[in-house]
Amino acid sequence: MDDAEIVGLYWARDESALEATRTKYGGFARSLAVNLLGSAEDAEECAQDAYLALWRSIPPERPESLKAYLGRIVRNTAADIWNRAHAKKRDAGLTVLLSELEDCLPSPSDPQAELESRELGRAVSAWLRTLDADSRALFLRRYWYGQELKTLAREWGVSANALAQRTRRLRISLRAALEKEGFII
Amino acid sequence: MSERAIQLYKAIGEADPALLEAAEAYRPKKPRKWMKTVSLAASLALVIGLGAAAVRYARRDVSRPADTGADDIGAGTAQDHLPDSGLGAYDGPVLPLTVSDAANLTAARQVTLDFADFAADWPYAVSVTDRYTLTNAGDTPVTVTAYYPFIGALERPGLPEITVDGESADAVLHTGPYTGSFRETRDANLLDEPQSFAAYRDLLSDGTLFASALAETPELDTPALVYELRGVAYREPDRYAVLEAEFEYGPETSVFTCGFHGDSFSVEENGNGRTFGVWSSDGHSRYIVAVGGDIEDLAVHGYRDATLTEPYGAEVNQILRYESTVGEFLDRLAAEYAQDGPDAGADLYFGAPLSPDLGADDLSRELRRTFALYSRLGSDPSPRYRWEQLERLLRDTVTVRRLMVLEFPVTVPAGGSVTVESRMIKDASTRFSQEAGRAVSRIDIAGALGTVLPFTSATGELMNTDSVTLLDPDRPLDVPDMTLGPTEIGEVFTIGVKN
Repeated sequence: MDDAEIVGLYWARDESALEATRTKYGGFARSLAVNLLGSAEDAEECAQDAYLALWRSIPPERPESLKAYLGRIVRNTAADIWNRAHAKKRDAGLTVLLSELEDCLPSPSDPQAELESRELGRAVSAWLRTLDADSRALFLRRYWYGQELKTLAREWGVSANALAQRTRRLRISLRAALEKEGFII
Repeated sequence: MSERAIQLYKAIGEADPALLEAAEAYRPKKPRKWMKTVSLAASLALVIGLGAAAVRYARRDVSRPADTGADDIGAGTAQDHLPDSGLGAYDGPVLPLTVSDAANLTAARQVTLDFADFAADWPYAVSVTDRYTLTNAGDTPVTVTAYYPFIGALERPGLPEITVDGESADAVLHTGPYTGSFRETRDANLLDEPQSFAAYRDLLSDGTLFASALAETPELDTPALVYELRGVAYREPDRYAVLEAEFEYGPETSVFTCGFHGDSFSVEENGNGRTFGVWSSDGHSRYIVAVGGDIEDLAVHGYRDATLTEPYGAEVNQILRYESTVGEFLDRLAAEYAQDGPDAGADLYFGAPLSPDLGADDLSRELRRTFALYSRLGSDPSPRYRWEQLERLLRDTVTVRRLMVLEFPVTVPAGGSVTVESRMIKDASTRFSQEAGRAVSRIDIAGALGTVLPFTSATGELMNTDSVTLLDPDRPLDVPDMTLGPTEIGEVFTIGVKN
């Protein structure tokens, strides 16, 4: 079943939409949640919350890529769960990932410097397009999919330390790009 | 973790689905070991990841005697093939060797750019060999102090390797000052780094910046009272809290802090609160430093979160107070950073680790210099540091580009020559060209900028360019015997790479 058909089921309020989503993207949603939360239990809770959010948001939403849309919901749900739990386990996936991202956006002391996620998202996407395919894939695998460095290091055929250095340089580049766009103080 | 990291995390979540699909399907090419050892053959592997690539050769129309000063280099003739997208960063030019006194000396320069590993990592980088044959026309030996300047940063690993007649030189590193300034916007004060060769030419042409790089470390012996907040004790099971340090101080007192989170930093003018969030116990001390006076009524309260509305059973284990000086305290911060780096205190420092080639002394020297210039008590205070958070000063000190100089002695025998060579990895300056729809990179090589050496010749050579296509819209480029020539040593090479 293609995405448009599944989205059509949601619009028809047909609960088989959820079954179709689980069948097609359940593994993806679960592994993404595990990457981000580092715990099977939390990941299961995250996936269930994400399906519920999917059901509630379509309609009115009509995503072209159901997978990307579900992934975004899983990521946001994971952030909520992480916030609630304060990530008691310090080495949980999202905790480490967020601490890495922290240096990309030095904090505004001035509350007026509140940033809008969409605007920031556009700047991030513009920056992503400046990267070569390898660097872009690496960045997104790490910071969108939440894959661990050691997993990526195996795939890239380099040491985790070397990859950490590389992702650090990418973050520095992102930071420079965002600063150029006025997102940084 | 702060709201801003989550905000960026969510912004990344908005990435174009097409980019996600490509990232998911992407299968990286694993490096082959021989690439690291066989540089010439490695050029074959550069095809990977580069696709169609182009190198443009941009000629500056510079005509001047070889031994005149640097002011003429490219002046008023700078072409720019690179559309400015606002993204990316200029990494500065390769700068020439200079000496304390050029009496009786002449120099022949040969620059080699090796593209063998250009696309092996990002940002793209070129291996640069900058070789000088110094000749002494006099009848007595000449001993001079040589200086090899380069644009670097304290976080960047790998210093230029200097050899004199093939022997490793015993070079002293001068880390030098920040090469940029600051730019005020409506909501922020940004670092404003030089973004063109012309900007570096202006910075370096009068020698002031170079002299600053060799200047003594500021003493900073102003007395300071340091309050060190050590460890956190919890009386409740959920080991996360935001702690607020409250205190009073008069207008004669300047207060600096380190370790208090930026996003929960809510002090008003002459206010009295600093806060930090802490997981469990991260083992890092937080500091409040009073200069010009003291603080009063210091009290620390625990809260459940940064709204500071719900009290929570957490408190600082120990508060120490001791007398110091501003300089000594900055030394302490530099030593902690050099030892632990930002990883050990992700909640404290958002910067990059110090280069493994540098030590706490190097960091401390530049931290002192940055404080002496740009802090609230500095000679040229910057609004960027108006909140007096020393970790921001520290982070910038580590990450900003600065003029660095390697100093070493050279003796040239009477009527003879010696060869001085620098080898380094130079990051390409990369921008995204909306017009071209691709990333475009450039490596600039400065000719006589800032040097007192009279050049008799200057030649350039490109190596391992198999994976890039050389274009020259104006004239054919003769590779590898590309001659810059003594009257063209202000040439700029512009390398365009299709993304």
